[in-house]
Amino acid sequence: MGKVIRTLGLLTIICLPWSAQAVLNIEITEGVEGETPLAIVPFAWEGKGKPPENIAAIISNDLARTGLFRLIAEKKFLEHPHHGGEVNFDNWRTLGVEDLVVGRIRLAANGRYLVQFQLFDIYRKSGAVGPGSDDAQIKQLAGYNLPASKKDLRRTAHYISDIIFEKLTGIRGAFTTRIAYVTASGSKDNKQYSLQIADSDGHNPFTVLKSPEPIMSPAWSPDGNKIAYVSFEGRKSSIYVQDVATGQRKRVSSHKGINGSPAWSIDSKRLSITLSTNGNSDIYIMDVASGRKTRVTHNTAIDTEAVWTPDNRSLIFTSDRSGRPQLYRIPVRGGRAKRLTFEGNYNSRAAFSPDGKTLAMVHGSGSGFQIATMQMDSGELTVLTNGRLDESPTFAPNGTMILYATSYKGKGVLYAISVDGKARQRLLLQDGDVREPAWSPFTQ
Amino acid sequence: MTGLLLKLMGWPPFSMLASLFLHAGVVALLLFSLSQDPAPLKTPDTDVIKAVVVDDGKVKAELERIKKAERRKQLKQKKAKKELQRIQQQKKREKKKLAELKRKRLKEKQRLKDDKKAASKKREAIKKAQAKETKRLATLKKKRKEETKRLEKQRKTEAKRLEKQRAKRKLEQEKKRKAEADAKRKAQKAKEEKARRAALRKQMEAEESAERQRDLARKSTTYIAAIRNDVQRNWRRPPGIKTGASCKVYVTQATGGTVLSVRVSSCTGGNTAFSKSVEKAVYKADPLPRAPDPSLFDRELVFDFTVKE
Repeated sequence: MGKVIRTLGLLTIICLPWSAQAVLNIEITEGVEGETPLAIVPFAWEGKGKPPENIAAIISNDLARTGLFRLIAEKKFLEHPHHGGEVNFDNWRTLGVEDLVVGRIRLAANGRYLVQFQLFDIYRKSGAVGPGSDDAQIKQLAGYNLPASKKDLRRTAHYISDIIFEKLTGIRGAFTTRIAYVTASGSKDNKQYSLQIADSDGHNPFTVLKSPEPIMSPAWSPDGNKIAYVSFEGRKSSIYVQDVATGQRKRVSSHKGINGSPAWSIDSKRLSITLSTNGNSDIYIMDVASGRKTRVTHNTAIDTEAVWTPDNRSLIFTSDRSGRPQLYRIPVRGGRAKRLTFEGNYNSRAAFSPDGKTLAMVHGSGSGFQIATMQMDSGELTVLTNGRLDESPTFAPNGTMILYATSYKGKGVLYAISVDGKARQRLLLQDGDVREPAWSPFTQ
Repeated sequence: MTGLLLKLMGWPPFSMLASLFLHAGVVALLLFSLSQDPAPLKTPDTDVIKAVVVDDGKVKAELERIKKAERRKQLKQKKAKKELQRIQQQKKREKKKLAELKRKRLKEKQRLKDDKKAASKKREAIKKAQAKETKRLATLKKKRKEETKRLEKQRKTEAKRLEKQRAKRKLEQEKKRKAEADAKRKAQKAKEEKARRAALRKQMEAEESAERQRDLARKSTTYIAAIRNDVQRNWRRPPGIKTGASCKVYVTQATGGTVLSVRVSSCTGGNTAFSKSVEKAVYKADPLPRAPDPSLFDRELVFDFTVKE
């Protein structure tokens, strides 16, 4: 008996240090999904008069558009700090803010500006706690002084958005990238078509091409230097390749019939196009430098809207060979086409996500057309939008958003939607119909 | 008997026997001659004269025969006279011899008488000595008896004393034994009591310990639940994270629950926003609930964040 007790005692003694050394393991499985509560304090303007640009608003819009952030309304703010030294983190903690952006705009020499911003993680702290440690420094995730001219201020704001986005999500920001789209304006008899390139939020548009005839299917070369598009100048379709920086363009395809749907190969050297030289639409590949074309599909049905797979070896295109438009895959060198989509009676206009894992498309299943995504590995289809005539999906170069065209109050407009479909925001562009968006690659 | 005697005397047995017979013969002869001495010497004279003739015819034959008889008588007489003479002489020798014998016998008688006397005397002496010895022996015996008695008495006394002593000792031993047994029993009892109390105390301690363990287990459950609750409540999972995404978060905390460091590692299926969210969940929960018992406090905590359906 005594021995047993002693043994037990001994065991206890042996066990205690072990249990003391054991690390408490806690499972957490029930988090609430939600956007990051983020506060962006309006940047201080340290000059005279009106601030040249509302940097904070631009950043807020950028981040809000992604669907990953919940911007805290300014009226709730308990303080308006403009640099780390002014921040009382407890004030932000109280608001449930997780991250805070503060900044200021200062005048620099030669009429230029210096935009300073800091991103703070309200909760982060280091192992060394004590009054001596600089809490703001520990909490700061990013902080930059960015010189900018007046016209660069918006772009600088997008750049700050990129930094914040990458710091908080680990994903490269795409706010400094641009979008190309086509606008149509004017009366029925006096229509004016325009190919525009704007910032990712639709601001700062500039006209690439103006034409009284329709312009269609702008496509960025993967290197971001060129745009290919279809223009009906002279009332016949032609495919042009235009240098974005210089505005110089070249007509690369002007066959009888349809010259449409140009799409760049991954190496930016070839274009897949749709031609109807043989009576009906087929997919061809054209070497941009030499202009040499190779036919890929040989089918009596309509084959069009080809895009390149990320391995540069296959094309995914729309074909009605089954009776209704569906997506197919075919090797670049030609061969048997394999049908990819089976859900719904209409699937067209494929667009690859940058990582090649997701395919966006226009999907129809009886009640209009919506934007859907399909996982390439599982074939799982997700309908993202709920419009009646959603079309022309195009991925942001970081894959987090899809831009697409739809109609709003009888006008064509562009929407940005997060890839999970949860966040959707209409881009505020100039008047007129807007359609055929194309999101640019990352700018080098 | 004789052999033993001879043997004892160391003499040859034959010569001893011869001497004995010789002595006996001599003694017998002497005794016989002394008793027959007066009668035989007178009887023969008388008997011859009284023989006279009684018949005539027979007297002539008789006279003749007497005449012849007379002659023979004469011859006989002469012979008888000669015989007488020899007998007388012999008688004389015999008488002399007898005298000698008588003297010898007397002498022997005297010697015997002396011997007898000496023997008697000796016997007396012996008897006396014997008496004396007997007396001495008696005395001795008596003495011895007394001694024996005394010794017996002494022995008895001694025995009694010893017995008494033994008894006493026995008693003492018994007493001692009893005392020892008592002491031993007492000690045993005390020991048992002590053991019983110790066991009781141990049991109580064990029960207390068990109760404490149960209490600790309860507190531990509550404590862990509190931490989990706090962190969970503060976990804002970014949108679009797929089911199964997980992160391990290693946290060091101070005794008051203050988070000292957070290290996110081995994240799968999520993205940076996801790993940031789990780090933030811990920081947002800072300070973590204070351990209800110091023994429950772990400086290091590991959180397993997993996205579940």
